[in-house]
Amino acid sequence: MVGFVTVCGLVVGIIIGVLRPVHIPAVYSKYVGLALLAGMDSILGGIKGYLKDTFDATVFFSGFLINSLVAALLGYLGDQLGIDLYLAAVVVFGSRMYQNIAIIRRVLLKKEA
Amino acid sequence: MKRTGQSPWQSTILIFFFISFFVGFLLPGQARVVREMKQTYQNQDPKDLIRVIKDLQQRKQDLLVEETDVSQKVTQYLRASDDTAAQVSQLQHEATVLSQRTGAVPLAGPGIRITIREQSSGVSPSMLADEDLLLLLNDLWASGAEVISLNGIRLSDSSSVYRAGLNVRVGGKVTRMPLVVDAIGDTENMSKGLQIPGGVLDLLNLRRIGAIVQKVNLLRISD
Repeated sequence: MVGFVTVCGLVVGIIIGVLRPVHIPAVYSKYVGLALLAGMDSILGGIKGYLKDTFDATVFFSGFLINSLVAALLGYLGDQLGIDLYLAAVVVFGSRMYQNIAIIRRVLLKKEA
Repeated sequence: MKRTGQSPWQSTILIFFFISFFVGFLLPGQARVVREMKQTYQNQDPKDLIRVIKDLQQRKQDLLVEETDVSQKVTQYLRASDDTAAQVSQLQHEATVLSQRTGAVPLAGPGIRITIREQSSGVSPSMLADEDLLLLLNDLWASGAEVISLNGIRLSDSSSVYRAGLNVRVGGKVTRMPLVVDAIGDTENMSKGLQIPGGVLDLLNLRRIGAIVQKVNLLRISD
């Protein structure tokens, strides 16, 4: 059910985003990209928690907000210092997304069995 | 928050929907910005930019050379326009060309003669159509004919040529088949122009209309 709602939310969001595109200034696009990556990681983490009965809405929502902000800030800080700090966020969130997808897949397979 | 009651369940669904909607809503905008950024020079590969700059420099060089040539020509024309004798000579040349085109003066010179015969009798007669005639004349003009006559009737820039029953009407005059087309001009060019594969001679042969092309050393076309 949660997976279905998530997909619905994404699809509705993308449709509205395509029809009424939000203007993102080019200078901030890198940070918004990082925040979106963190957001997708949070969604997958939430689904995983829900399937494993460890879901907490407060943790989920705060994780979404803080992770997105920190990822964007990390990217900004890296630019100010001349270091590619955003790569740290990309690696961490990217690998976590893979892990979460793997766990979700296993849980769903077990439930099917 | 565990799934223990109706309200937490609904809030879980809502929060998932809201967050995924938010992410989905931002995705197209972000994708669009990234796509636009890729098209700006700031985000291009330096090697590509170097190639673009080199191409532009070469183009600039070519344009400078062209500009110099054109400037020289303008200077020549300006000098020529100051020379009255040159002006008179130019005008006389133009007058000669115009009088030839309008048919005001008789002309003589090497050319080609095309004799066209149609089979008006027999089992399946073939007839020369207006478009065959126009194609032939246009091909002759295009391949360098200076003057053309049809059965001795000289054509000018404004002559109309069309079939009128068995006759051929050239301007205000009427002539009959077979048709002898004389054209003064570059003999080789005209001959080659007519014999292009798929050209007018092939078309006439296909329609079984006989067309004989002869090169003539001296043709004379008068009014």
